[in-house]
Amino acid sequence: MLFNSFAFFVFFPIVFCLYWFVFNKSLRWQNVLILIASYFFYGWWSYRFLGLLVLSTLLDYYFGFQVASANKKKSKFFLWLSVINNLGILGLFKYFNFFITQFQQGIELLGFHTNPVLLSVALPIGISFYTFHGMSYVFDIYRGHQKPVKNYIDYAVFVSFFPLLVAGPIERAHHLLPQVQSRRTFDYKQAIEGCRLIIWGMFKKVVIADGLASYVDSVFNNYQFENGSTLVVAAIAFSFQIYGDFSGYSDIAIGTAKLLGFELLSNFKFPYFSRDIAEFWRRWHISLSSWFRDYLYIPLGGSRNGRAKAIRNTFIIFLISGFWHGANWKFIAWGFIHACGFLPLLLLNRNRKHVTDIVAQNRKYPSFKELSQMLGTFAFVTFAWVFFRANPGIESALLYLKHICVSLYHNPIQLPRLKLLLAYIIPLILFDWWWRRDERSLKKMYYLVYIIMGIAIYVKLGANNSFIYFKF
Amino acid sequence: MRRFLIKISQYFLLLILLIFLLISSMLWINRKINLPFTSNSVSFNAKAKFIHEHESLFNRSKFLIIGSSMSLNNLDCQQIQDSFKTPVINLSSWGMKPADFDDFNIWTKDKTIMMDLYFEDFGESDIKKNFGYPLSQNKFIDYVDVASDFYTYLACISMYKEYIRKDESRDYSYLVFDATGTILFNDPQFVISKERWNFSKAVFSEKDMADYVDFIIKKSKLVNKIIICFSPGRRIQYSSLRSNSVKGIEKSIMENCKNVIFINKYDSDMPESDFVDMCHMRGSGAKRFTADIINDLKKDKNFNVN
Repeated sequence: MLFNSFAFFVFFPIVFCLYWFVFNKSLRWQNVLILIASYFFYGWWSYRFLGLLVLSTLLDYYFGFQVASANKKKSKFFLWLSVINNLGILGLFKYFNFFITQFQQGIELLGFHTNPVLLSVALPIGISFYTFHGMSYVFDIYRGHQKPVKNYIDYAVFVSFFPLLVAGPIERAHHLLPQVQSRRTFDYKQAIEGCRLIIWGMFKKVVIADGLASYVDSVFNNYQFENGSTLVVAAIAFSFQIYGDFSGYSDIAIGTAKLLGFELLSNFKFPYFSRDIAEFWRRWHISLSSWFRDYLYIPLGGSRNGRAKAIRNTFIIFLISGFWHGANWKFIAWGFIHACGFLPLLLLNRNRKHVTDIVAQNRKYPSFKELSQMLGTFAFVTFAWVFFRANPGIESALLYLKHICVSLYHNPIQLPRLKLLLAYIIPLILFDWWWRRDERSLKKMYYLVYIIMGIAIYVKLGANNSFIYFKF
Repeated sequence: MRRFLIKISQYFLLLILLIFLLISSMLWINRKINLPFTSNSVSFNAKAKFIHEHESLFNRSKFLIIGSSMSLNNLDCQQIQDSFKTPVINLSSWGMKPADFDDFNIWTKDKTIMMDLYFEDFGESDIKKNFGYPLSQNKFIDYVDVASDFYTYLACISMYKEYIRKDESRDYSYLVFDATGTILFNDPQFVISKERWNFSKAVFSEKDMADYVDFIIKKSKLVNKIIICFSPGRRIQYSSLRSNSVKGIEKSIMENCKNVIFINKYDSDMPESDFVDMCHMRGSGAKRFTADIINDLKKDKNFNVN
């Protein structure tokens, strides 16, 4: 079920009413309702893959108990079993065909002909998200940060909570589980904030991202026939499309959870106002980057064991982060480019320069230096997005970039459909700039603006595109 | 909770009111266009509008032309009408597939259905129908249709305004039907697109062709007669492989249906000057092609309009 569908518009008010008016006196029944609603939400897309979700949940629930065992060897064994199980599910459904194809190509280079068996199964939606939920739970138990949950329903709600089930944010057991296990009371301010986030998220997704999508798709699918400036504009448009799409989804998810009394982790904090790549990764898809930081980068030694290992670990997490997005070399290349952008900051010890503050913290406008830093970071990120977006693979990205260079050299001034694009991009930049000091300060917005957003969402709902991040 | 529900209800009520005003004002502004919004396809809607405006011709006609732009541009209905001395209406429009005509209630025993066909016509329709029956004029249903997909409605209206232009610059996007519902590219200044001139769909799905055959077999039992003409297309794209595919379709249909006439013109040689693109014809080409079809029909012992 899509957030921007009529089905969700009917589904959620029913869940909301049952949750607060029928089952409000019993925490257990509220959780049962959330679980049933979550399975219904997921099953609406594919009831067959619902079994996979339930199986994955059951296994991690069981592994959690075993990992909590006092016997260190047994604990470690089950930790690995959980990792193998989750990565096995991911590997089978998401990466099997990729590895088999790569293996086949490698073998054929040696002169052998093979006829590999490929899986023709659709990628289960949200698989990369719920397997990561499961792993974070087991990791936290192994580290002693979390006790195994006795009640299966509570654990299953943590894994399958419908607002974050298919595209995150990737929650941590120690953050969400206590909320699942404690009584929720309706809070007016929280609910209003949730509604505002839902409207803003819908606006970003339906109006901005979908508005840019048709232009971006048409250019990226026919880049051979477009001039250089069109290709540059389309790459910039894609940067805002993916931001509007994914951050919009996250806002809807966070807002929906707020209406049920939950607080989810932030996923985006105005990433295009970042002054360097390190800051960008503290602001873009935060729940994934912090997941990799906590469960991969730090266990590998982080930056503590010398410069060489820090560089190695940086490349590992960026490459894996790229690969997490899809079984294609283009995503690995995207991760590699970001690692290369991060490397100079790491070597110069400047990767933690902008940890807590935001650009123009106490001012209305950025300084010239800040502006140039932001533009430089945005240009780099946009360059990397070309690899992420180009279809079918890395060759198309390289050709796309080549076309830009060749065409701009011959014909430098052709700005296509700029007015249309700016109409989508400028409101997004302005609103983000307005709210950049506190992402949740949506209350400052005028009622009229929400009404206008509501009308714009209604008008644009006809162009019903699914969320980009469902594919991952 | 009470405060929240009041606040959220206020928001939605105000939103609904404003949306209602927006829809009403757009319908009022576009009232002269009067394009029914019965689908997401401007061509389907335009044809529905044409039928509304030519209801008596639609009701009188026992000879109906259906199909895509192949039937719209390549068959000269006026000539058919004059030759067989019977009213003929052209229901075809861009991108329409035979199954789209179910909504016009044409599959009845008193009707003779004719269509011109080319390879692009196989496959499923992209047209999505709204709630309203295309030939009904229920204001409430019309309103529901518009309200349920306002964006597409606006897009349809905007496209239609562009397509019904009366200026000199004619090209493929010209959507002004003649009295029979046909559009013949008679303009010598017709703007030929290079892309369309060379366009040729490389692969044709066997399944789509088989589905088409099944569809014709099923529908042939419901009507008086079905006449299928297969267009020649520009000779540059001719291939014996495609020719065999057409013969295969013809054979399958003729083996299973007694009341179908299949006129296979794929192998016919028509000069390039008769075409405006890979398969659509100029007015002169369409007239020549239609005359040829009429001749074949007159020779056919099984053919009888009534």
